[in-house]
Amino acid sequence: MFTKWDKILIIALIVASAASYPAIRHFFPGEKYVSIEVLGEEIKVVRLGLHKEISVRGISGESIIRFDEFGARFVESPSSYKKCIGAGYVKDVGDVIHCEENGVTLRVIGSGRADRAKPDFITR
Amino acid sequence: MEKERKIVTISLLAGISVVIYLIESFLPSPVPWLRYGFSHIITLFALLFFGPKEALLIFIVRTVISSLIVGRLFSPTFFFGLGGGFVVVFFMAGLLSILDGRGLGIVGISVSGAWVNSLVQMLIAAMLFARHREIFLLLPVSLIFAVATGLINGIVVYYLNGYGQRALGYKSRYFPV
Amino acid sequence: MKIVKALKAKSILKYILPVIIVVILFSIWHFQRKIITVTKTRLVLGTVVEITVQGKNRGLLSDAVSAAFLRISEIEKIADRNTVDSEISKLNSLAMLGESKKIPVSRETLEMLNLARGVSESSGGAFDITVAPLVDLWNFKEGGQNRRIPEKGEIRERLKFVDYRNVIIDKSDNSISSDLAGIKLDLGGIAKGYAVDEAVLVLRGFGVESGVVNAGGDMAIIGNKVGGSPWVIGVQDPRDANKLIALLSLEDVSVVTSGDYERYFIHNEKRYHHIIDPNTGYPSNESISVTVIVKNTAKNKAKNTALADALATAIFVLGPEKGLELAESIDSVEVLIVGPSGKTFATKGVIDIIEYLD
Repeated sequence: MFTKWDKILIIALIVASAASYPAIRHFFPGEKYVSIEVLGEEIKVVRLGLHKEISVRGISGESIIRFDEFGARFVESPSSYKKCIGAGYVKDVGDVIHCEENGVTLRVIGSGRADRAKPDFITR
Repeated sequence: MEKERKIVTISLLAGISVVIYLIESFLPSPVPWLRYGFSHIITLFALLFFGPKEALLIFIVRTVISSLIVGRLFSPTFFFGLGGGFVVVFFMAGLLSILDGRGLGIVGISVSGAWVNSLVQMLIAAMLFARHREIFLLLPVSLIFAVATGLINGIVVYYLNGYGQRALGYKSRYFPV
Repeated sequence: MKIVKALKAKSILKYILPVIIVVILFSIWHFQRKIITVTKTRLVLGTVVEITVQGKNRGLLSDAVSAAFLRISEIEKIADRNTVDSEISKLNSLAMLGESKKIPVSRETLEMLNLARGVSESSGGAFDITVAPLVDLWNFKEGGQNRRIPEKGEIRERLKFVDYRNVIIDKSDNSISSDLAGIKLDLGGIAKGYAVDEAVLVLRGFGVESGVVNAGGDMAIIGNKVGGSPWVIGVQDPRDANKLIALLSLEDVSVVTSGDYERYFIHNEKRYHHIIDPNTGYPSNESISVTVIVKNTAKNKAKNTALADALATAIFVLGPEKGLELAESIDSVEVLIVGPSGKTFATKGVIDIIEYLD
């Protein structure tokens, strides 16, 4: 049923599959990403954990989002009450900050499952 | 082979392929969007029995009909299956004609086809779902998984090939019994 | 015959064909039962409105959601005070001119006014649609530079115009009138809920039996989730936008939360927010956050989100003690209050549906 080359091939492919893991980990070390949405439309996905600032054009101006080891947050926003800046960090999967006046939303997405039951909606 | 006999056999193989695909749909999927691909048993068998054209035809018929039934026509799974399937048919056909029965056996062909299929599906997934780039972390798992299902498919086709040659009276070009 | 013979193994056809047919038929039956979820989001009513529906027919669900959004936009055109040619703006400009004759109004406005009147009466004026002059004075809608605390005199001046009893509703000919020149109506405390209710009516008209209309946290829940489990709604922590204080398991209800964290500024360590006590003219400090749940019953099914919307404001202004009393006095209403000290209060029925977090 198996030729000699069959066996060699199967072993080689298993090794190659396993070896792809460190390579993938290298390119995708974090499992969490922040999805930046404007008016509900995703415009950018940024990995969490890197130090960087991203500026996003919303409906009433520029929002600046800072990424660091703690998570992501708004540092500059055209909204008058600075509510989204006061809202602090998003860091866990499912966390959302919605900057109402500029229509910008930060949402943490990831591959991991949430620990506890996540609500379908939030009343606020 | 007479024309009628060929048509009936192809239809029958397509039908069996649909059935395998549907039964597979009831099984829980180990990795989201990815499938076991047991219906490629028929694809590979058709490749050995007839050739690339017929295998591709069976594969397309199978994909469209079963996606219609499952309600996944033009869904991500549909495109993964279609893209991966095209590649896998051409890849295995290429391997068969290059090696011409030397080196790799049926199981080897099946395993390498499944592996390449899995890789292609991941690439399509990456293109369709830019936001779910974390599914790349599943690549190693799905590749190893592909080796396992390719192995199972290969063994089944190995026996089918023997049975086909004895009971249906055809002579395999690459793997005569 | 020739074909079958040619296959040599006649039995293949005989045995395999029935299996193929049976499996395909079973699969069609199985997969056609599959439930689809359709979600659409739009920016209306000054917030993000998200409609989620579940059912079997994607096309129908999609049409239903689009129609529901159209209906919400219609309500917005009637009740939005920021739009110059909305019905409410026209009413207000007539009232400013001192028009004391009867003014005909739309069915929708009349319905909102009636509902508002009911809540105003039962809460002793803690909810009042004539609060508009004060709302404009505090001006929480506009930019940050203009924010200031109004003078006592200014507030006293405007309080004269604040009393829901000054609006006379005549149901017989769908009209309203007022003897007092200078009053101004603000449907903001009820229009969002009303629009959600109207959207739900549209969805139900399309045969939708499961879904949620969520207007920035004010929502109506239709039925339960497909599969029978209730929808899980998180209640936001009023002092940390990233946290929840509780999870509610709900089906066939309306839920609305009012909080002092929605629009506010802090001056001399004191929080000034958009929920103004119509009796004092100042932002109410009786509560931090109020979540009202109104269950749909056979008797009472039509305008529960509007009711919840108005009650949330009323109960916020009343505070935990009187607020709980009010909520307990109305059938099918439950409430969760975060009091000024951060302590939570809830009606008796809440215990069955709540899971407190942390």
